[in-house]
Amino acid sequence: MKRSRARRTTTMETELIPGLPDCLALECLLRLPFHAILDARAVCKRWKYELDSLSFYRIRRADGLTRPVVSLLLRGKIRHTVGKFHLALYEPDTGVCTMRQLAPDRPRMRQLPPDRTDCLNLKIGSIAGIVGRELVVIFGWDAMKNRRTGEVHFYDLLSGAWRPGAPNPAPQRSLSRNVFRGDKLFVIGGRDGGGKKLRSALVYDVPTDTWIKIPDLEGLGSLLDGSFYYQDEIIFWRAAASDSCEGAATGISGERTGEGAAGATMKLNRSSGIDEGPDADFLEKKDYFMEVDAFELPVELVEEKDLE
Amino acid sequence: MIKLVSGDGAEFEVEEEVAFQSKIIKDIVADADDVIPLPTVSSKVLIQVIEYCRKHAAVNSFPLSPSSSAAAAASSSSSISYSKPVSDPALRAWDNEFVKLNNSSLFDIVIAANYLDIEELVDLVLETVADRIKGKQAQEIRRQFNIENDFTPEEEEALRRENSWAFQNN
Repeated sequence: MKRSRARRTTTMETELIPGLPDCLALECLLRLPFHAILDARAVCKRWKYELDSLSFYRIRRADGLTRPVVSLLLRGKIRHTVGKFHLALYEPDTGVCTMRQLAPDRPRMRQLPPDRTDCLNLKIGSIAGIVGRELVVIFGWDAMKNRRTGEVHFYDLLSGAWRPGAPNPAPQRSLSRNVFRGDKLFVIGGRDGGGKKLRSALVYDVPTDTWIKIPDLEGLGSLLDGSFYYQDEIIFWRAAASDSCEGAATGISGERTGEGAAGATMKLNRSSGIDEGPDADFLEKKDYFMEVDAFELPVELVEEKDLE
Repeated sequence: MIKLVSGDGAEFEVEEEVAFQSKIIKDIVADADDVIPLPTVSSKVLIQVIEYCRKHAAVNSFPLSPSSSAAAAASSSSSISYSKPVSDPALRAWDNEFVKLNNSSLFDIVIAANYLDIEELVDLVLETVADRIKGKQAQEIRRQFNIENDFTPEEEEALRRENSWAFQNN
């Protein structure tokens, strides 16, 4: 394998590492674990430029150099931390664990206009996931009008900067099943503002920042038996209320081979006519332990008391 | 035996299986004679590279066989990026001793290894350099690699704020 991926730009004439050709120096940087990247960004402008570029992470992924990072979003419940969110990242490969308060410079919320992105109206019902190297937070709470908002915020794990995304067009939908899969969020079913049961779904595609409405679930999946498919992929599965799903759930929990394997097992069950499977809650919990590429683990939202 | 000639004219006779750790040399030997000039490699570096190849040729009795590329493909998805899993702990230990060199010597070796296409050695050195970067603050990294700090104090302060994690365990 010849190494010749380093960008050559006329504005950046300094070497990445003096004495080493850029193509080899870049290979060194590609091998850094996530937490080392945070420090390396502050070395010089050239390093920061490389480490902030999207192509850097594409190459890392393509070369299998990404490492798993477990992320945990904590909501403060005790004194001094009430309502404040902390993001903890743990890198099993290196054992490094870090935690930071999101929006650490946040002033008092009431004095700020509602469109300020640094005063997140995070509330129960917010959903978070990590896509690429950003934390995505969807749904908030308008304290003045006491209702859910469809706001979407992105938090850059490297720079700590917030940016807004396209808001959910139908924030009043409640009791929906919200599932992060890869770089998409699925908001499935639920009830509208008037309490009417919905059988449609909303798909938020994170890279393109767009919401897609799926009006009729019949073709794509079905909420009748409690499962939902999207483009041949199982998004969630729920055993029928009358069935016992103990057996199937135990069988799947024994293997931690990843999403694909679990999905395959469930599809197998389905095609052989066995209408059993782990319920969606179980699936979502299991996600948390799965080894996925760096930065792609879904975020587990917990409250501090749960940790004790 | 294959004769390698360094940039400063020194000649080194090595066994085929040692020289064939380099894919380039293997290709050259296939359609040329057995004296190979390596004008960009100094004898100091060539001695070190031959030392590495000799050790690895002795341990991998089947260098560059089809099975090694299969193993490389299998390991490419793991987080460890060695092209071939160096599973022998004694060889790993030897490798670790081998790379205990200053940065500029390491750079010379990796440039030569990249030129000679000795993938395992390239990976070993790149991994070592990455290890020397990680776990260090920006200032230490700059000192170690002789990199100039071209940030203004304001930019530095902003970066420091961005990277102010409330808690870090090491």
